[in-house]
Amino acid sequence: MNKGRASALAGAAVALGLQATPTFAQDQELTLCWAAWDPANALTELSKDFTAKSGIKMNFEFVPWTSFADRFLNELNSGGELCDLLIGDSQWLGGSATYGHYVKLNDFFAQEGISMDDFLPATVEAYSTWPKGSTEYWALPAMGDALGWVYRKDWFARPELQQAFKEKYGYDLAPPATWDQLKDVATFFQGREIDGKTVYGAAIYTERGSEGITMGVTEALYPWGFQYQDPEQPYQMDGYVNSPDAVAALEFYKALFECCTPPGHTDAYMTTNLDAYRSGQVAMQMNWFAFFPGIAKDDQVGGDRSGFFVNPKAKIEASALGGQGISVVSYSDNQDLALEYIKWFAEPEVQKKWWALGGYSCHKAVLEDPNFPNTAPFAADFLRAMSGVKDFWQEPTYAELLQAMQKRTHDFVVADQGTAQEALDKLVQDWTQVFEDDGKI
Amino acid sequence: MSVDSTPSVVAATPLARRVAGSLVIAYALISMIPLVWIFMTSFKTPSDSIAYPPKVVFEPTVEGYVNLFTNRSRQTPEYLASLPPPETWYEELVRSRNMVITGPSRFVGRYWNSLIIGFGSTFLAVFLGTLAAYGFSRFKVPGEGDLLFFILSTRMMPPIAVAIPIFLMYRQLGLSDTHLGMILLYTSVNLSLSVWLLKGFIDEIPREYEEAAMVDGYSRLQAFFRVVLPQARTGIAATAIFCLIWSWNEYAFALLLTSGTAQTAPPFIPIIIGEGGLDWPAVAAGTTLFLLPIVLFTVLLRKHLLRGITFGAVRK
Amino acid sequence: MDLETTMPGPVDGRSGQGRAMPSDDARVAYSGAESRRGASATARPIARHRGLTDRSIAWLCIAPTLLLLLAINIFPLLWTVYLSFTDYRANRPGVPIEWVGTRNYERLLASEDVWGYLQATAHFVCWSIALQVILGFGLALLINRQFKGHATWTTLILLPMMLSPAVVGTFWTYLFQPQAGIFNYMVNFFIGAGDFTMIGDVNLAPWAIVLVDTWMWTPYVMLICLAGLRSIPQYIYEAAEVDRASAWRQFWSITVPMVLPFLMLAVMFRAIENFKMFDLVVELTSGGPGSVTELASINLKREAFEKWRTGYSSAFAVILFVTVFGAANIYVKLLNRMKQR
Repeated sequence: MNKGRASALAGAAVALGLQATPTFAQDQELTLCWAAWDPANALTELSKDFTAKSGIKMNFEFVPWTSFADRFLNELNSGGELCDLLIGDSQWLGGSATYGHYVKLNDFFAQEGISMDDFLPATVEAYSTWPKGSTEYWALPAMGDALGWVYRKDWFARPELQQAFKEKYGYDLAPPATWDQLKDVATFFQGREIDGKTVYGAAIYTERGSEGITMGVTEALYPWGFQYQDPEQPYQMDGYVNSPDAVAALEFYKALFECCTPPGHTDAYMTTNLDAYRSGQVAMQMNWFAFFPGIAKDDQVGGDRSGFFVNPKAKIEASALGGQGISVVSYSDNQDLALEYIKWFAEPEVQKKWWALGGYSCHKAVLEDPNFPNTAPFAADFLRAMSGVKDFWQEPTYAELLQAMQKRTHDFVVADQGTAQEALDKLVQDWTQVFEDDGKI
Repeated sequence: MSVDSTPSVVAATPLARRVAGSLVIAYALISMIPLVWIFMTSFKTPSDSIAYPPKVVFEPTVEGYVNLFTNRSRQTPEYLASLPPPETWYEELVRSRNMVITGPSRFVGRYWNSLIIGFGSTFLAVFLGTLAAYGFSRFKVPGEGDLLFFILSTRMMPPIAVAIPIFLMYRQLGLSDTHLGMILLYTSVNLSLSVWLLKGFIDEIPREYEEAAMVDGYSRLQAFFRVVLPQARTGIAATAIFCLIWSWNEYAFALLLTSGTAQTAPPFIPIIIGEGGLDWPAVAAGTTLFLLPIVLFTVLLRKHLLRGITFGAVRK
Repeated sequence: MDLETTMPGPVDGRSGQGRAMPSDDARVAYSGAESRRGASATARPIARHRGLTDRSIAWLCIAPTLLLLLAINIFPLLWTVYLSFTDYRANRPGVPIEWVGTRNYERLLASEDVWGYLQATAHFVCWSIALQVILGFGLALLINRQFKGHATWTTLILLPMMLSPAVVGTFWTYLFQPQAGIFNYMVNFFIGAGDFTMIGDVNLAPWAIVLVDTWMWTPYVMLICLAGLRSIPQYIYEAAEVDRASAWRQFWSITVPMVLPFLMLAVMFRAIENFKMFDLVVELTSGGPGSVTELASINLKREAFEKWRTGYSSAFAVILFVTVFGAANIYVKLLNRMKQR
């Protein structure tokens, strides 16, 4: 089936306000595809309202993060009809827009009066637009996310630990505000006996397979002022990706890995970090804000035992961006129903309930509400993080760029090969090759 | 597995036998430890499974199995209090963990797909393989040696490599993510083994039997069914076991060529996420349940297994 | 390539069809067959039998298999070879395919990363096979003593080989976990090696994958060796005892040569499988730490299905296939020569 024609047809039908296929109320079903994590469970709950209101039954296809990209990029590339709605990673926008996997939503938004001004600008740019910063919309911002930190508030509150820390480092034990402090705190807890068990400093991202270590390393790079390319000259990366600051940041991350992580923490991403934290192995963990509602509710480490802090600064304050937008898949047979879902999801009341259930709304009605910082222990940190987020490449070739960075950083940080400068130099070479092959340079 | 009628054992003294026995038992016990541990893990709670140091003594629960078959989500105690009381024992178990069941998991569907695709491709591979082996064995086929090596060589390509063009081909033909597509693919991979093994078995059935049958008036086809097949049945059983083990446990093709409809269990089990990391009790439960059919099949046919490898050195 | 002669048979030299034991000569069951033909291995019937000629029956039997293999194995292989000379990317279906000649091959052979992956694969294959042969053969010898209950214990030993390699890789990450897994505790119980991480250490990870593969497939080698041992007829040992040959001498001049063809077959099968290894290692280490356990197939999957460089990965696939094909060819010739001796 000619995908271009099909999506154009569906777009035209929608624009004329017609239904593409005649359906009866009982037969209507939609399949929404996302990653299998806490927010997905929250969305399942939330969608019950949609079913009650519209009579459309919602089916869900959730795949854990480690296979998420594999599975759904495969699905999109084979023109699969499984997903009507896809909450895809922000990095997929380039490819999906360019190769026609997503339906362009501008006309729909205009017709239904959905304005992108109602959403936080950073989220609109990151989760909806391609080319970057344009006004071509391929998704509705669905889930805001950034990389933050969690710490054992109950351990930090112990007087004997506070005293020991103050003696050793000269300042109070508190959630670190700079990366140097982060290292100090982590070193302090590494190998310490707490409640009869040996604990360790911090659980950080080191995963090789999908995107783990890249997210971790960029969380260190951004505070050192990292830039992907020359602001004046796109795709010129030499001197920027491998700048002295970048080298310093990468070396710092490796030092943190070597001094202050649990043994065996060499292939860790979100779930391994959560396990390490919940089993009481580490004093701090780096993880996506998406998990924080679950951590706060946890029976072992929740409530007052955990606190949250935004990514510490080095030269500037910045965090790695996560988050996704919700898109309509152009191979779907139910595009009109899917658009109905998006229309419902964009309503301010629904967005408020989304936040209440544990999803990170990007709607201004939620985020700019004066009471927002009080609604959860991590809400204020979330706002702060979102005001300084940076994202990885969103190019159509993003998968190659990501894989190259995965290899070079894992080789250096975990497998101890070469120096930070060499790793970043090789990365520049890899990325240049990718852009040359793609015709961008 | 003592099948042979003329055991060719070096005459062993009782002492030598006991020493041999203890060494083998030692190896068997050591190699069983991981399996026993996984079996035990299937009866732990998720927090027990990630406890450190690892718990050898723990309170057993079937939570792992319940988690394997359901999707759940954590809720606040207030929300839970507002729900009607649980109706089944597993709902009660889940509620006691402050969660609600949101629906069945995909495990049953995946298991069912494994049954269909695993047994389907095994049957087809053995059926076609027996025919082809008979053809090669009984008739002078031009270029036979080369054809046979060619059939073996189809097994030498890394599955990932074959997956690229198959992915493209199936996309065109609409066989992506279908049972038929996977059965055909698995059959063709298993054919290289089955033709090869079955030819060995059929070779050792003296053709005199069929000749005699045909002289007695049976057609070749009837001779095939009445004489050859019964004689070859142990070989067929052995081949079937190997084919099934491969099809049942295959991962790469299932991962790359299927998604929602025809995906089998192996890509599913390693990604059963609990509330943080992998839900180890559920993974262990899935492993145990997935192992059962193969063990059953093998135990039922174990007499033929050793015979199968022997390619018929000994006959009654 | 005559496969018949590669199949193991008794040492008296009678290979090919009708591999009956010398003592079985008298046991032909179906009446009358003996008088009509001898134990001829070469005469083939060409007469007509009720309708179809033998030739057409033969092709009828073989054709479905060949067709299926052509469609699903050979045609894709040829397509892969074609793609290896292009810059095709499967995630851009609309873009026209460009012929780039040998550029993909040049890049592959010049890339030092690729040599690293092949090295990792070679290390894995060699060491896992070596261990499996030693353990498998040893176990087969011991089981052949037929101590009490050996059948049950043999069945238990077979269990690891019946699992899915992907699932095995997954739960061995759990077992290797230094805090929550039992491997470290057990090793320290016996040896006291201190703190170590099997799958996280650059030096230990290659051995971790060898260990897990050996755990899984030693039973397979054992089974094949056992079959070989059982095929050795008793009378040969009896004759050697009459000649007053020592047990050691019997082992080296009777047992080993007769089991060797079986063993070499097992080695060939395992080597082919381990060269293609993907699921076990990708679940266990993801090819890490760094790329020390990134086997050829893992890199192939990343190139083909994550980066979608279909042309480039096809070239890599062709190189891998040619390597295995060539090696297997040489090996089978060696095996044949050994059979003639």
